Amino acid sequence: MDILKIKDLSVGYGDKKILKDLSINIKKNKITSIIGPSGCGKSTFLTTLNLMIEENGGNFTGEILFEDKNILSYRKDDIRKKIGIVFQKPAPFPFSIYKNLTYAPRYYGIKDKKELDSIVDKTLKMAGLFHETHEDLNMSAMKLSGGQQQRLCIARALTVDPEILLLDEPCSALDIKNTANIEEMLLNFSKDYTIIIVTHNLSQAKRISDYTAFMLDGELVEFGETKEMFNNPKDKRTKEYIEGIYG
Amino acid sequence: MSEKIKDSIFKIWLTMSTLVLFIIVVYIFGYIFKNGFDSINLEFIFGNPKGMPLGSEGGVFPAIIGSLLLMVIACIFASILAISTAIYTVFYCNVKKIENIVHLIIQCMAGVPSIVLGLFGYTLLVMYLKLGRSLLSGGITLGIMIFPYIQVRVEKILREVDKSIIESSYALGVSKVYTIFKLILPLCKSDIISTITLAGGFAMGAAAPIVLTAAVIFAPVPRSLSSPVMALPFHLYILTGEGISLEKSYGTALILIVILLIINFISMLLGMKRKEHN
Repeated sequence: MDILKIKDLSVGYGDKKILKDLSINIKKNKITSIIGPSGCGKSTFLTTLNLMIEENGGNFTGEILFEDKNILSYRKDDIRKKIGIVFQKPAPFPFSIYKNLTYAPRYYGIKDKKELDSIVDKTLKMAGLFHETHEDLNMSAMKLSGGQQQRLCIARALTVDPEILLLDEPCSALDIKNTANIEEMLLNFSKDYTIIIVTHNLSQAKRISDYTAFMLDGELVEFGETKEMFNNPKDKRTKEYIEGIYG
Repeated sequence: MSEKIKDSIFKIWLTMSTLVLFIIVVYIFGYIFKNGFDSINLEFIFGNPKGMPLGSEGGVFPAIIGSLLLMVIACIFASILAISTAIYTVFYCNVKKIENIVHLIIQCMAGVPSIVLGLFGYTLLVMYLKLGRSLLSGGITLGIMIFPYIQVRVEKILREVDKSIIESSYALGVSKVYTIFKLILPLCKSDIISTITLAGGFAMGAAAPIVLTAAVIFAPVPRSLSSPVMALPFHLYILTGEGISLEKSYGTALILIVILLIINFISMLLGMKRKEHN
């Protein structure tokens, strides 16, 4: 089933067009990688999906259907709750770990301490951070390492129970071990969540994703099953990129 | 070689300037301390002005309390307005033109001489709104005086909050109001309080705005917001201006300076707390 259907999406800032007529369907409970050289509009695409683009002064035309309903017909806050995002640079709130994870649930009206505790436990476990942190949840999140901070941000995105998780190069600032942690975690997630991940790292896309989309200069060049695409690219440009001709 | 000489001349010039400033500050404090110290005793701090002419003996207690109350009212009045304006300009104002107009108005306000503010407070608050010469009139007038100071600094503090944190909050589907009250303001809390405390010290030291709006010579400790008050700077002005007692003037000045130092010290501590946190 397609959880997201995107038709003729064009995105720009003022007169500057970033994405041109992009159409793509995202399958539910699958991991979709978006690959492409820097500046091809991957991140812009991601931020459009949960309307974060509007906070940065961008605008879009075309249609994005979430569960067959136009995302503009949802309240902006609701769509962001359903489609969570984790940014490239880990940005935990400068509060305690506990407060980072209860920030959004409290906003959605959960006041009961037990319920909040269980959300914290659950999301920390999902993000593989439980064993490292459960002894001192009042520790400032700023004291965590970069990889831990990123996993905390993923846990934080999960606290509102989204259906889709968007990740914008979540591992670009992390070492191999932390990257492996996050990849393993994402593979576990795909049972419950739909994941769209922007990545620079082709082998990462190959390792974890079911589908891969290749973008170049704001256009979607090729989209298909990951294996098929890496073994047998249809477009010449995809082949060249995979072989390492573009940056 | 000549570059080297220029460099050392410049260095000497900078060091000398700092030194001169340091000497001036130490001299002022030392001078006031030396002249005022003898007047300081418990009766001076906790007593009412006495003697003939009034003020030549006794203490400055009503003026201390008056000054503190004026400061509190000014801070409350100014910070509510200033923080709101700052939040508006940073988070809600999407039109650059409006933002520029707001900034222009605030700059103009900051440039208004304090005695003119006093006159304004006198006509509007004391006469037209019939608040009388009172704690409230004086507090509001002082509040208007420190408003631009607080607004400019709070706006800067808010703008310095890491954008990615704010975005992360919006990305969770959390509203702007919640983000501001639960994330941004708590983060900036100690910086904002530190700013308000400093501004309060500034308000406390000002005499001109309260001469026409709040101060009545040797008024007792005010009973309500509508009572007139005595304040330390005005007390000092009367003691010296009317030639009542120079010695007591120095004592008053010393108390004023010590209170201001304490306020600045608190403000500094709050600022340091913030840095530790990060």
